[in-house]
Amino acid sequence: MVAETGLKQTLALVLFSAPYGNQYADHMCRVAERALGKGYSVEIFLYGDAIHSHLIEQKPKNFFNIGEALTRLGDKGATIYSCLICAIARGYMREFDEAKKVYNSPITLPFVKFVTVQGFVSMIKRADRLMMFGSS
Amino acid sequence: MTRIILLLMRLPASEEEAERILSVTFRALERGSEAVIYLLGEGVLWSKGLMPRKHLGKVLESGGKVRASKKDLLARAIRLDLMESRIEVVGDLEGELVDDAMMPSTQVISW
Repeated sequence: MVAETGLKQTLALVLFSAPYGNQYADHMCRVAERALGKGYSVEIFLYGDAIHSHLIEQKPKNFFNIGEALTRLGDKGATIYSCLICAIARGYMREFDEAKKVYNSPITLPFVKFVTVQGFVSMIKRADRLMMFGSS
Repeated sequence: MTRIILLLMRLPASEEEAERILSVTFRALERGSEAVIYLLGEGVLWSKGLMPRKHLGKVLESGGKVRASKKDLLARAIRLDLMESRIEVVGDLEGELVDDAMMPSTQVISW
């Protein structure tokens, strides 16, 4: 969907809750999928315990697989950000690349971009609409 | 006209909490805005429980709209034929939510 400015409209989604304990991550992924299908640009920010959503090799037996859902969304063009500080606190960041001055996480889905709260603010500024899912 | 979308994904723990959550819709309606409540996931239980159902009834009587996810209602064995008739049961609630949320002058509040 294109705004009067000629630019694609952007829907920003923020997830606060970890996957599987409740359905917030499921809802967020489904809303994102519909938005992409309707031609909107989608940006997602994972905050707090929601960062467990981008752990690789998730294998829920009977639940909607959030890792696979995020991968599908990434493949379809969604930009997925994760809170860097939340990831460091939860042990996701195991290597620091001195040359690039960035942290690398070997256990995170590869397309996820780690940003600080400034990145979160930038995402909100770019967005035409914001939806929040879950509680921290 | 400003539009408020209230996306409910869980049940209120108390009468006070229900009143607090819905107060935004009443304020919007009083100011001449449009208010639409979307019930998704556990949120569809607002249409079943006695206490939350009473509060939703007030929203409907005040001119607000309520839409509920059909798949989430069926998943929780809520009989569609016993639903309050003014609640719109929607097959693809997430898709409708996106269409609605991206309309001009719309704000989405989720809980």
